[in-house]
Amino acid sequence: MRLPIKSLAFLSLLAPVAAQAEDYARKSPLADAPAIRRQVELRDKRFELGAGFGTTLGQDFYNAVLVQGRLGFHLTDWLAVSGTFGHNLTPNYKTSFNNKLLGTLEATTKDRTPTEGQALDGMNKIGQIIGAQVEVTPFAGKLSLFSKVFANYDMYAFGGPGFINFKSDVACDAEDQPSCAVAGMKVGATFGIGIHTFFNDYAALNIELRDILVRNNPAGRDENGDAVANSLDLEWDSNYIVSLNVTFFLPSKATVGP
Amino acid sequence: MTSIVNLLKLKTFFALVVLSGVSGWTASAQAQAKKEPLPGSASAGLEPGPSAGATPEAASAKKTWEDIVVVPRKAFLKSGRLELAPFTGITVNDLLIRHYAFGADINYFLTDVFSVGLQGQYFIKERSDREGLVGLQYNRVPTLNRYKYAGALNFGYVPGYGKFSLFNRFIWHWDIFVTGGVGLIWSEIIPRSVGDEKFSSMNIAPDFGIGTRFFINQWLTVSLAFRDYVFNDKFEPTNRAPGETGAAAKDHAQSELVNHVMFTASVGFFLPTSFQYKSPR
Repeated sequence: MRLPIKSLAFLSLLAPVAAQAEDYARKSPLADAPAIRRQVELRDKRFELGAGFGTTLGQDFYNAVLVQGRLGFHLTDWLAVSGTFGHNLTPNYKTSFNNKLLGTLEATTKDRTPTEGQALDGMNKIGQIIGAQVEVTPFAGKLSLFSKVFANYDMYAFGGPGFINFKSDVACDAEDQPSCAVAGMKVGATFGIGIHTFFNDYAALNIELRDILVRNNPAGRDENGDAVANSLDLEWDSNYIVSLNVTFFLPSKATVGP
Repeated sequence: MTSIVNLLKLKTFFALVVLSGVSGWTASAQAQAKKEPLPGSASAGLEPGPSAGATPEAASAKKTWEDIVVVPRKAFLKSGRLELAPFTGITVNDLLIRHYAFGADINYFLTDVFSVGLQGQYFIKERSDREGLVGLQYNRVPTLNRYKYAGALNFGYVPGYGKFSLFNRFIWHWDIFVTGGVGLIWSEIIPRSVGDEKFSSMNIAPDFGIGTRFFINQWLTVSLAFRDYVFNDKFEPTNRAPGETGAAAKDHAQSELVNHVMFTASVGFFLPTSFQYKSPR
């Protein structure tokens, strides 16, 4: 009779311990909470329309300042499809390298040195650009400037097919000449990164750094050492463009998350 | 006597049972209270839950975190701390020659937004494809300089601070910083004729930078920045006579204002490795 009483007493003492153990094992009430509550859904199921300007970076012979348009649809908060079109407003804006190079060339050809005119005839310049891309927006947050101005922002990466329509001053009628400008639409790839900084629920400043990779020969002169310029001299070239756009999101009212 | 002892044991047993029952009920009640906050507790001077006043079924379906208000503090304090930041960088604005930089910043934060520091770096050069093509396509040899090393005294300011979430799961903090200062950069000509003598020059170089710093933990950061070093560099003269010495060529060297823009990435180690908030949470 003594043993059952002791056992019962021992088991009864364990009961609150078990209850507390269950309590400690319970997960934090914040464990399944989203990182941001009541998040203003600035992108999800919204169209994006934008316009602005862009400029090329690191071009060999001609810089391009582009007027640009942008249209996109955000399928989710983090995934979008969009398209960009740009038209070059400054087709004759030479780089400092080009100016220095032309300054060293003479009026008459000597050995294999081209004249200034021959060099210019071979160079091409950007006419229009087109990009069709998928955008992934993994980062979104808030920033403060001088603890006075607060704004929502996001950062995205994009990629897809890219196109550049090259123009030249002189059309190249026949291949296998010393200078032959590459012109026409070239198909390649575009990719880059960008940010939106929102002024309010529907308007944002958009900054984008883009590379359009196409096969090109910007000098229009021999690259492979066979002494003539032709399609064998084409190589994959990067065309970096930094853009500043103002974009508008539709519908203009953003929903609020849980 | 034995019966009295047995009676005492029985009483002790019942007392223990009653005590354990009471404490078990208390623990259970505490757990229940954590599961379902008391009515009105969510709006105790903070934020009312979205389902306040809803039916008991709706209240039990409500997510537990909805009633908990979280106000995070600034994640990283810099005031009074030393930042050791080794970095690497690459030239972004020169068509013909590319420089890779390896160096370090040592910054002391006087306040959370102001810093003063020293910077040193070493450069490795690489000629670009375009530089190689200039000779083939135009029968010309470019006039180029290589940079050897540089040092600067810099001041920093943090005008902006922000945070972002990664797919709404993790929150990361970051800041924007601008830097400005003055230093020296050593450059050396790359002679157009391979056998010609080189000459070096030491140039005063004001520098400006803008970047962003991501806070990984209490002592570790990752930064990305653009830095512009502006200086008046001396280039090999185009009318250099064959066989002219380096010193003679330097006497009539061509000067040109250069913007040496670099993109850099650095890892920052903060000392002391921890910090304390001055005000309570």
